[in-house]
Amino acid sequence: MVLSFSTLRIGGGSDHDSLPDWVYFFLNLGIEMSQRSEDAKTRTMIACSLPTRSFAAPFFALGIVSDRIRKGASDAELEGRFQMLTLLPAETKFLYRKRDKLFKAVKAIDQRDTLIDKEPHLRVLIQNERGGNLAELVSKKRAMALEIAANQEFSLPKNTKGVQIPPVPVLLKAFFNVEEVNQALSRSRMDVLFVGNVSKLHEETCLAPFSYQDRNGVFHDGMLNDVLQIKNFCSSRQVHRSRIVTKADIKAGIDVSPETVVVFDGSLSFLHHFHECRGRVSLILLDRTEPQYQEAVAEINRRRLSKKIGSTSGTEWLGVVPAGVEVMVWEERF
Amino acid sequence: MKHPLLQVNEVYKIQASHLIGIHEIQHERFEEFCRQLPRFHNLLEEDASDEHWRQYLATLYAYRNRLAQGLLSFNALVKPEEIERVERLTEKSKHVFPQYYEAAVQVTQLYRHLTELRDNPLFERLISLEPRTDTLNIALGNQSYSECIKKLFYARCQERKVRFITASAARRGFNLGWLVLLGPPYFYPKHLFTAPRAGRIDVVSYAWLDNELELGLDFGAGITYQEGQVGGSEIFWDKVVKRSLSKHSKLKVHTWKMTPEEDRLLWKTESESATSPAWEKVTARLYRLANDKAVLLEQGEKFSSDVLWLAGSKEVDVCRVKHRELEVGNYLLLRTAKDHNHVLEMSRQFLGDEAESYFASHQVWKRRLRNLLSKHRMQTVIRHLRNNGSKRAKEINLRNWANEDTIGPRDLEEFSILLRVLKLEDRLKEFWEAAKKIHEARIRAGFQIRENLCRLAMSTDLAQLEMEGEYCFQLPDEVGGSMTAFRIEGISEQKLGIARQYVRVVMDLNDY
Repeated sequence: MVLSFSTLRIGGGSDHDSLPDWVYFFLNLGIEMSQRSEDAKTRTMIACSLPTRSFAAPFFALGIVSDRIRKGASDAELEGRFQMLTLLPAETKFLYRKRDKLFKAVKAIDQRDTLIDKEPHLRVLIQNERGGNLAELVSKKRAMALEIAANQEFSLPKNTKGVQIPPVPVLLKAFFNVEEVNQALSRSRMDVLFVGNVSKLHEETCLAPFSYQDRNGVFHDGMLNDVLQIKNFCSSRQVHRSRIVTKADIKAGIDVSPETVVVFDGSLSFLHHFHECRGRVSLILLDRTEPQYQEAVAEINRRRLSKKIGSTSGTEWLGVVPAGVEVMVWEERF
Repeated sequence: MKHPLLQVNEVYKIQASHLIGIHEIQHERFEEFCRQLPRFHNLLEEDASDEHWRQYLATLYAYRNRLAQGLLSFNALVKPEEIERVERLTEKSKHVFPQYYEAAVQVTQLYRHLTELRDNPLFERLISLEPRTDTLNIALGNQSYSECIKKLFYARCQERKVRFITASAARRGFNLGWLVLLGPPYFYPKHLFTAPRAGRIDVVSYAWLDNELELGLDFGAGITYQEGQVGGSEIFWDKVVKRSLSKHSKLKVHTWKMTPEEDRLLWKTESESATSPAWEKVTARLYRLANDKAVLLEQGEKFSSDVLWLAGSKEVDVCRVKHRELEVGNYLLLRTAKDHNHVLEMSRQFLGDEAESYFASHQVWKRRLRNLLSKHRMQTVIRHLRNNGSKRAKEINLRNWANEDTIGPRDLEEFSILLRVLKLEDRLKEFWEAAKKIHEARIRAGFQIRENLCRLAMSTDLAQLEMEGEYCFQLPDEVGGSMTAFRIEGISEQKLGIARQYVRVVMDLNDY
């Protein structure tokens, strides 16, 4: 199914405006980059010269995260995850997400009779023996709902009610069906890594109101972070799908998985931290009013000249580039 | 409060349709003063650093700068004691520097005359502009006189809402409506034009200043095209400036498209230059020539090349043009015969029997300098020279001094400091004499070759050059070799750091 953002509106309450065209450019760029990041041999690099970089990074990330949520985990990924869970020793401790609750769970010793409709399941206990050893059978489709607990020392409660997970964010509910939402909230993953100003991204993703119009014409208010789930702006109980690099991350060394798309928001971010996140599909957003703009452009030109492979002539997928935006695309080998 | 996304949307709307007008203003007397002043400064050469002339020039330059970008009348803010001082210094020079007296009198008279005028051409033009929006935003390059300008403005145009802003304020704004910039575009950060925050931008400036505004693409080591020749490529850009308001303005819009051959050429040249020592490197730009040829030319204030100037059907001239002033359509004269340096050959002829000894002694200190640069870091050598009193020791100068094709420091004191550092101070007289002779011979040779070329061009039917964009001139036997005129068809925007051996070499793009 093709993602549609036409029901997304600017503003909350009773004041609504439709999204301008340039926003769709960044959304579509994100969707396209989400697919390109999965190529194992080459990485696509995109540099954008913009009159202002405000809101470019959040909408680009929204495209990526939405595309990934919509696709969900692939069968191969689910199969791999389920196989891994079955191979874990008995009594391994998990955190198990079920609807809007989070439970402590333990892999049961007894894994017999777990075939339902010829489908293998994994038995996990969520209550202790005194409570009756209440068990849950987790299917392959729900494999992502089980997360190995960092603390392997806990014991199961007698009567479990689970811990309430914060309610499903409005915009997440608006754009995705129940299965996709459950999938999205079942496990943290890193779709987008922002390298940029934290407070600016906070203003754009957590303070600027947006709304969604449902089939009945009713507006529901939300923020872009409902979908982006930026770790820096989420509580520890919430899952996340993106993160902003902080000074502490840089000190500790940034470990970026191959499917993560790195967004350099601003010339300074690119100039200072590109070498720490190199080797990943990247979007570089440069604002022409920044003092370091020319320096960043020179560095990009130099890099493109020395690292580029193949032809970059096929850029029809970019679509119509908004006025005042300059885009350069090139491919590098991993 | 407006939603922040809608504010950002204002910026994008402006990118799609906005207009930049350049208004050039003539003022004969002020122009003459502006042209005479630097000429007089050049005439003074080293004497310009004397306290006498420093005081004199500082007063006049301050006056010129104030008027060039202010909105002040010519007699505003001029103190009588300033005029007196300039006149006193002029009179004093009659005895102290008699050789400059006459020229100084001319400049002083111009200054004196201007200070008596109440003209304010920038302001008159500004208030004659048709109002575009309710509020007129004026960006001042120099804020020093803003209070004075505000008073003047409020006194003359009370009916118009005016706001004075700085360039950085224009960066933060989302839609300023109408923005007026006083003084030429280069006074202001480029983003005012490339990421405009006003639908209408008017530049009001004097005609003799460099009011050229070039808006191109930033990405890629590409090629500059003239307006209307934009080819399809991976880069997209909505051209924002379509017309200028002044018939005199030189507004240009261009963009570039890099071909794979040029891409490979630049990549190869840059990667092959990577191992060259720092002093061997120059900053260069790619010029696309007719018939799939290209050349890399050094960039910098000092670098220039010969250009064949076709002024009319009969008028032909060969003149020296700085590389930064070269334009698409110019005919660039380049050596095409390898291993034949005409200027060098001819200067050897002019120096006669002494040529060998002059060139030999010239090479002694150059070789020593290159050895020094290969043993130590460039910055270490610069620091050492500066510690010894050098004022001109910087990377670009050191690279030039170490190069065989250039002469060396023009200033004797600078040259003596360099030789002191090279431990060759005892041979200062010999080396200075050789450098001077070679310099003179080269200037003569260059002039002679240009004369020869000019004569040749006059007697040649240049229709072939205009049609094909390339023509080879066989130089007379006493000079030998040939020079080829190539039409420039594109200029790269990107500068590259490359080894000196690659510059001024005509390359065939089909080989890449």
